[in-house]
This record gives sequence, C-alpha cells and structure tokens, in this order.
Amino acid sequence: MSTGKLHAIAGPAAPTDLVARCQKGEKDALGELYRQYRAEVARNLHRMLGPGRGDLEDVLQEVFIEVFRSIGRFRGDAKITTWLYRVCVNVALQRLRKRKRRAEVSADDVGERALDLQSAETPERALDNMRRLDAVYRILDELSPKKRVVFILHEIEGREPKEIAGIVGAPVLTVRTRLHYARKEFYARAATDARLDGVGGSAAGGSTEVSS
Amino acid sequence: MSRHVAPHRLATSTLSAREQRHVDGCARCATAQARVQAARLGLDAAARVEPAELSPAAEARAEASIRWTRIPPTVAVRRPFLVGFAVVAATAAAVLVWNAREPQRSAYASTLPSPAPHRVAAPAPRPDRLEALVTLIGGDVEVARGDAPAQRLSLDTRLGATDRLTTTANARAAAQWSEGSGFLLSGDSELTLARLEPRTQRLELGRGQISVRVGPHEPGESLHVITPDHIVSVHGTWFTVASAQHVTTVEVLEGTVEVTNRDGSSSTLLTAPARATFGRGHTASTALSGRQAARLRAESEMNFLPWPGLEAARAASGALLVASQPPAELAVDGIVVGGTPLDVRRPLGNHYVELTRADFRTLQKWVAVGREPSELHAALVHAPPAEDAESAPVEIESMVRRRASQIRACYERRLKRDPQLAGTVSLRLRVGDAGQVTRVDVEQSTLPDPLVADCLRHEAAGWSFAQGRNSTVVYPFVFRTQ
Repeated sequence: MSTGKLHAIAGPAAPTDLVARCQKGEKDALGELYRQYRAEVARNLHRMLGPGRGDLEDVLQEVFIEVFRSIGRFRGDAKITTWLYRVCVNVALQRLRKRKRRAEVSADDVGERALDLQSAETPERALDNMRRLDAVYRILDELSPKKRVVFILHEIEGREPKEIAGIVGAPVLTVRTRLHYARKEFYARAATDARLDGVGGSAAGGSTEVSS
Repeated sequence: MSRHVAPHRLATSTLSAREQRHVDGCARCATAQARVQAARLGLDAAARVEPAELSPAAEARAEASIRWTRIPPTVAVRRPFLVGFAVVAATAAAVLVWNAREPQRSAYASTLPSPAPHRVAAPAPRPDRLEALVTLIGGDVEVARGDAPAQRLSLDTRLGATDRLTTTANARAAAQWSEGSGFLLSGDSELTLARLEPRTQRLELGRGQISVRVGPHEPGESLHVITPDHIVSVHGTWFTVASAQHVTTVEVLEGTVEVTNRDGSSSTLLTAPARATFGRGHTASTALSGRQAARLRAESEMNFLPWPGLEAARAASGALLVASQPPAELAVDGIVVGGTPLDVRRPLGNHYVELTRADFRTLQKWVAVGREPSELHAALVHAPPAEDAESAPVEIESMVRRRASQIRACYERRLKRDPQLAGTVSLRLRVGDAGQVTRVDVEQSTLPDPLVADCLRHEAAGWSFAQGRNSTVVYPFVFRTQ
C-alpha cells in the first residue's frame, strides 16, 4: 500500500508543553488538543468503522472523553499521536463489538455511504467506487473486531506490524499472525462475494501492488 | 488439474508461473481474482475517503466534554493507585454535576429553548462560612436568630446557620446558597438552618413542607433534611419533604435521596420520579407520573440566580415587588414563580412579567430591576377572553412548538460565543390579510447579543397563521440556562 501513510495520524509530535498543560487540567490546553487532532481522529475512526454509519460523531466524542480522562496517565514514552491512536482503536474496538452484538448493519444503507465519495471523476466511477467500498466494509464486518483492526491498520493505513503492535498493545508476532489470518479470511470472503463482480476489478483495474 | 490458487495469493502482483498458468486456465480462479482485485481497489478507496465535516453539535459536545473534564493536578507516576482513584473521583463528580444540571422545565417549557448543559460554569471556590440569599418571598415569613425576637424576612436578609424561618399559611420563601442549590419553604412551615457550611448543610424541618435543589456538588459534600422522625439525605438534586404528625412525605423530582429513620433503624433509597410516605412502622412508595413531576417542579420554582458568590449575586440583582388586585399567578421571564403578592430577587436589568388569572386579561409588562426595589402594583381587568382573541396566541404557541429547534438554534449558535448568554427577546409580529407575517420587530431584548434577535426575526418572518389575520401579536422568547 502506498497511500495509507499520508492519511494516518503521523503529524509532528504535539509540543510536550501542550500535553503538560493538559495534564495540569488547563481547559484551554484540552481545547487546543481537541482542535489540533479532531480531524485526524475523525479520519481514522471513519476508516476503522466504515463510512456512512452515522455514529462517527458519537464515537469521536467518546474518544476525546477518554483522552481527557486519561491524559494524566500519559507518560510521554510514545508519541502523543500514537497514544491518541491507541485510544481511538480501543474505543473503535468497543464500538465494533457492540455492533457485532446488535448486528446493526442493515442492507439498505448503501445510499448513505455513497455520500462519502466526492472525488470520483464520473458518476459511473463514483458508483463503482461506492459499491467496492461498500462490499469491502461488509466483508470487514464479518471479520472479528481484532482481526479487522490489524487488517485496516496494515492494508488501509499502511502501518508496519511493529507500529501496529504498539497501538493495539500486542506482541509483534501476534500482530503478524493475526494479520496473516485476517488477510486470508478477507480475501477468501472477497473471492466468493458476488457484490464485487463488475465493479472494475479486472486486470485493467489499476494498481494492485501490495506489501506482504 | 493443479490446486486452485488461494484467494490471498490472488491479491498479490507476484503470482508464480505455475499459479499464473492455473489462473489462466481456470474460470473459477479468474472470477475470484477479479473479485479480489476489486476488493483491493476498495481498500485503496477506503484510504482516500474523507469523513464529512463535523456538525456544530459535535463541536458543542466536545466543548461540553472539555468543560466537565477534571484532571488530577499532578501526574503521580509513582503512585498509580492514587492517580486511578483521583480519576474515578473526578469522573464521579462530573457525573454528579451532569445529573445536577438536568434542564429545569417550567410551565412554559414548551415555548422555551431548552438549556444547553454545557452552559454551566464550574462552581466558584467555596467560602469557609455559608450564607444564603433570599430569592423569593410570598406572604408573611419570619426569621428568628438565637433568642432575639422574630423579624419579618426581607429580600435583603442574609440567612446563616441557626436561623429559624417560619411561614404562615399560603406564604413561601426561597433562598439560595450556591449555584443551583437552595430551598423553597412552603406555607405553614418551620425550618431551622441547623448547619450551613460549604461541605455540610443540615436543614431541620419542624413542620410543613420544603423543596430542596442541589446544584453541582463534589464528592464528600452532604445535605440532609431532618424531620422529627426521619433524615432525608441527598444523593440527587431536587426533592420535596413534608412532615406532619410523624409522617414524612418525600417527593423526588431529580436524582436519588435516602430516607432514614432518626433512630437509624431503617433506610430507603428513592429514585426520581417518586413519592413515598414514611410513618411509624409503615412505608408506602409510588412512582410519580411525568405530569405530576412537571406540576411539582412548577410549584417548587425557587427563582435561583446565577451564582458567582453571595456578594456578587447580591450586587448583580435587585428586588422586584409585585402585587395585584385580585391575586394572580406571576411569571417572570417565562417562569411561573407563584401567586401574588410576591417579592422576588432578579438580576439587574429588564424582565418580562406576566400576571395571569382565569377570567381576567393577562397583564404583560417589561419591568426594570435596579438597585432600588422596583414595585409593580397591577389591577387586572375582568374580561372573559373571546374565542377569536384566543386563537392568535394559541396558534403562535403551536407555531413556536413546531419551530422550537430552529428557535433554539438561534440561541445556541451564539451561546457558543458567550456561555453566559441569557435573556428575553420580545417580538412584535404583524399578521397580514392572508395570515402571513408581514412585519417583525424586536420590541425589546435583554440579550446582549443582537444576533439572536436578528435570527429570530428572520425565523418569524417566514411564519403564517390560519387564523388571527390582520392582527398584531407580541411574543416573548425567554432564553436561559437553568
């Protein structure tokens, strides 16, 4: 994957004094932290949970409530962005588990997801894009939340297993194993998924380079 | 025929020669490869998709989260247990505060934009000694201090520990000692402020009835109402206690209270909305219906003020003394505060006063409250309302209810700029021949931010009414945070 990194939380580390001010309980500093990172956090949650689910703002607020609650425990041994991302992943995991229990993914929210695609050049391509994206997230919905998270971190965000291990709090070897099984399961499901037929996935479908 | 190529291998661009040969000759694998590649494109698209812009509501919620977040002042890395405890305590405090700030509903609630919870400022640092400011007096209320003879209670009286309040039948008095905390003593009651300290308040009810509200408070703070037989302790925020002939009646409007026998023999937790009676040897408890709870809230309105501290609250408010002939129900800024005659303390500035009584024409008036007491003596005109005259106000009320979210938005947008924003905007609507609003003027506004009134004007300009043609209606919109 070549584009993932561009969108990942990988900006410069927050000035340590901002974190220190947050830890002292300065409301201004919390506001600054929120403004500085809300877009990144929203983008990452969006990728983790899938477009068009309608609950992004709720989850975003949950993430920041958790961040504000636990910033006192942030010891500065990781980049603030990595730490923020860890919180993001934990909240997303909780949400995914809840979603699994409720089986809340319905068959008729395709239209909503279509709204999320703005950059496609023609309506046909936009429709193809939307259908592909929709199929991808439906397959991801069938993976276990843990597998889903490492798969997205690697395949969509383009993060290395070592970095993923830091984010999900698991040994690198575990991450590699989980990633291997996630990829196997994802593509096995994709290979039998008729929703992916005729949406531009033929040999002319563009770059398919992957890191393995 | 060789084995099919595993799907995850199809996702790579480096198939071996054997795999490639197999795919070329196997229709099933070719289909699988097309699907896998489509999935890869889908993953690429997922990396490029941007979430929608965050809504203003999301921003407001984030601000609220920030406002209510309490962080332990130091990072005690070496004492993880203590840090953990502090976070839990702070979280508990925040939850208590949220509960405490449940929006208050008035009799006019349907016409009022509901308050935004994030409006409330953190409580000011507590002084060592607590004094209460009288916010409302109706009828004869006396206060006695120690052995000194009882005196008539006035809005200027500062209540302190050991003061004893007595109300005659139909009288009432409310007092406040911090942001959102205080009581309303009903008629024919006797109350002693046994302890009035920043962390402990004990109110001893000799007889009669008291309503108590508790604003933001911290863990460890306690408030008890003590009747001759029972102790009612606060775990929540708004409740009423009545005591007569060894029977204590408790109505909980918000939160939870604990009722204990004074001999400590039994204790009961009551969670809102509920009413329970505790006698000697018997207890009965029933849930309150939403309507009953709403009526009780309206009846126990305490006319609380913004509370930057007693002196500041006193300096920023003045007395409004309202009497009417015949007695009528008084509403100030859209909040019904009780029957006249009534003395109320309100923030300095203009206030919208309404006096209503069945079969009399409602009197609506703007009254200026200054440092000197303002008096309003009104004679109500007997006039059974004609049906036509009623239709316009009824219609406009239903319109306001329908457009409540747009009206609220006008206020809440500006609230983000000024968290203390509160006041009343009175619009004069001219309704034309066809029922459409032809002209909207801001008759009066006590909101410092003119953009709210502008926004309301634009909103109202689009309204139209089926009845009430060719008429002029004045309608007040009250915006406040409590």
